[in-house]
Amino acid sequence: MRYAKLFSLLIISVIGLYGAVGLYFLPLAGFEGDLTRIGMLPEKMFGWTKPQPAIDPKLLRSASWQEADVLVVGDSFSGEKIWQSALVKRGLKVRTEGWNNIRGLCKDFQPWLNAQGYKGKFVVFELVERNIESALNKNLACERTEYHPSVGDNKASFSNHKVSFGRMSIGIQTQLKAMQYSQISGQINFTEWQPTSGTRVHRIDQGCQKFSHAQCQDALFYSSDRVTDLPDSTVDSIATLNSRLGDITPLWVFMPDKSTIYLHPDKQFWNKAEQRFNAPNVLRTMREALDRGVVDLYPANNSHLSTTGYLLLGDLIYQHISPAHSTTRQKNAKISN
Amino acid sequence: MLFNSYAFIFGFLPVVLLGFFHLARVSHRYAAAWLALASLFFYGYWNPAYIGLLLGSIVCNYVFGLWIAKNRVQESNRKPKIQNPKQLLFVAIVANLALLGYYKYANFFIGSVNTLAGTQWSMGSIILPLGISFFTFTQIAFLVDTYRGEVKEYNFIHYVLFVTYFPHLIAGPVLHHKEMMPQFARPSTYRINWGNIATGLMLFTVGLCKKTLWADPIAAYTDGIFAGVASGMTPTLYEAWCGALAYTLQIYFDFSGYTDMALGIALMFGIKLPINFDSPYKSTSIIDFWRRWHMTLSRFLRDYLYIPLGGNRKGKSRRYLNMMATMLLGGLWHGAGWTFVIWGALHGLYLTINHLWREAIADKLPRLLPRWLAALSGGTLTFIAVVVAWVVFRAADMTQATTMLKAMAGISYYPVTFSEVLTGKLLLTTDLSGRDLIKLLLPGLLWVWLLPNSTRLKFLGNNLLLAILQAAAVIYFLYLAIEQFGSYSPFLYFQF
Repeated sequence: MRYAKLFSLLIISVIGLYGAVGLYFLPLAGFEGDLTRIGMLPEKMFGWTKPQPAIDPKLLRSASWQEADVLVVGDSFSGEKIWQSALVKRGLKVRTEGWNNIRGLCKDFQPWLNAQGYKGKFVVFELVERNIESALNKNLACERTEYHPSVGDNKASFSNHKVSFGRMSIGIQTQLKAMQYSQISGQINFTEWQPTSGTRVHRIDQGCQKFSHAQCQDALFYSSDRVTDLPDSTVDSIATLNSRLGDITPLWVFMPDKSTIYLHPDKQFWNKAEQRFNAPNVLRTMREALDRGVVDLYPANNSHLSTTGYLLLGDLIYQHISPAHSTTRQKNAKISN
Repeated sequence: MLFNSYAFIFGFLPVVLLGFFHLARVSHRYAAAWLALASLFFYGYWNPAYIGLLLGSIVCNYVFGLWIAKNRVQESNRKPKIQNPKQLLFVAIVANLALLGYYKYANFFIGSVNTLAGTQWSMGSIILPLGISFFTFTQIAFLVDTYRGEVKEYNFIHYVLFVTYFPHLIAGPVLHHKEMMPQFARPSTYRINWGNIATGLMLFTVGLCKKTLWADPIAAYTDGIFAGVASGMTPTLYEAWCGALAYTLQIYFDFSGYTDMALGIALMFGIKLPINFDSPYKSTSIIDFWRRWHMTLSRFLRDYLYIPLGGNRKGKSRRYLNMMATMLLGGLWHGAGWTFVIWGALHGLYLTINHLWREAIADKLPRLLPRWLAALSGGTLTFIAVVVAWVVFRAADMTQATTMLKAMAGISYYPVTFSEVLTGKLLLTTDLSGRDLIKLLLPGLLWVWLLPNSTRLKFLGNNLLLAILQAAAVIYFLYLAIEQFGSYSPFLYFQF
């Protein structure tokens, strides 16, 4: 045991020092947005500051299969059930399922849906732009629905500010990234910087009129956001999937990537989908909101919509499934198919 | 406060350790009192309201202990006594069990009565104080031993410390005063022993790694599969086995991880706690398993339940009855629920079969199998029996347990082919990745089957290079384990 003291003191000093530094920067490892978390940039730089509307938690509860008027199958844009609250508020009963819960819109979707006891007329299929192609291909290949419901996510609470805390080393790295960003973004010709492989910071034209965060001239985006428009074959794939639905009325909602809204708004896919399937033109609606001066439509720190943006989306979708629109839409969809 | 938290590792532990050895230079009494106060703070960090309950329980049991001891001495000296010590012991044990019964079992019994009789009685929601089963059992053992005349020391500070000593207070090991009180009284405990600190640091690191690198990640899969079954889904055969194996590893790494940390921390303070696990999944029989799993609870149940019930002294049939009663109560000790009772009954049945086998067949027949093959087949059978019982232990109710067990037995399961499993359909009741689960399951199983028990770990300190290499390894693994912090992750045995 000659070296036990050396051994112990070595461990205590190294871990103690790491702990002291790590704990000092730990507050920086608390992230509200997915982009600040992945990009490891502090919320004090990119966290939104303008208040957002609150949602009554009662509007976030999912209806049972038997009582639902509308079924939503979606990704993380639907998972929080915030846009659905706009429908629930107007008296519709909405059930939400994730794409992962059903594994896709498989060949047996209609009989499977009937077997669940669903008597509603509409199914809203929501997909984010960057996943549209891969998700549609997966759906086309899917033979059998393998349903596995999510457990315990029927919300009874709502918060605009949900902070998740990361590890101690993340706090230290966040501090280093913040210093790097301050240095790089101060350069005159700064346009873009990639803090991590998953995210990029982009200078936004008139950014401070669009965002409320401290560094409002810049916003964060996913690196995997699509730059180019979606091919026409995407629209054909949707027609094939619609043919699996029988008497169910589908409503395809394609969420533009955040980059599409702010950096590449000239894409034509949404116009084509609207013409062919009467799909809600989310891109146009969001661009119009920006033109009206809506701040933090997408918060700078998040790849998802703000509560304001979700409510706009909910209103748009409601317009498409409200009874006044249903007859026309059904006719259009059938003609296109 | 959790061992696996920043507050404990970077705040509480160093402050208490420094304070203890600093005060020990002035007075051993001060150092012991400091440790007792720190232990109460540790307990109260969770819910200060229950410090009163803990202190009340300590003071009452200490007073009862003194009273029993005094009357026992008077009885043995044939002096006129005030109270019969046996009656005092009875009252004290009933009071302890009443406290435990109220907090842990009242709602369970009322619920069961309501189900049977169709009544609607209610006691409202009762919050279970942390560690109540542990500190109640520890003190019952103290009272019984006082009555038996086996208690030698009644120093109040040492008694408070014996009950509250923070490394064991919440989830054991279940301590015996005989192994603790002499250590608190020994002067060498109050001197820094760098060898103990070094080994303690190593043991703590192994325990922390078990918890954060295995138990917590694998818990997501256990929860996912059992939650899928709870929501009405039928698992595949492969998935049911994966869920059962995942929980088998989770509970071992979680509980033995906690115990390793407790032993390691105690050792830094110069205190040796009893071993609680001895590689239980290497057991070659169920009898062997109960000598290796939660050893201090097995010891308690044997000494204070099985033997007082008559043990094996009153004939064979009574012996099996005693064994079954002990295991049923051992099951109920884990929680107020029928799944725990059935888990205890299953192990009681296993033990009975194991003893019958030994008496009727194994001891009478010449060895037919080579030793290694007998150990392998015994070990496999024991492991499967233990895994099956864990399914009942983990399930929220017997319906869920039955669904899992039917799928494991191939009676009723969601059909998938093996080639589908290989192409990504291992898990269907949850969105989690089957490939990632296998990455945890396989090394976890290899660990529990092949590696030596963590308590064999010892600092090798006679070579400078070796000491530095060991320090580097401990720092690396501590870093890895600390990097997993960030969300609240209590130990499974806190609920028992």
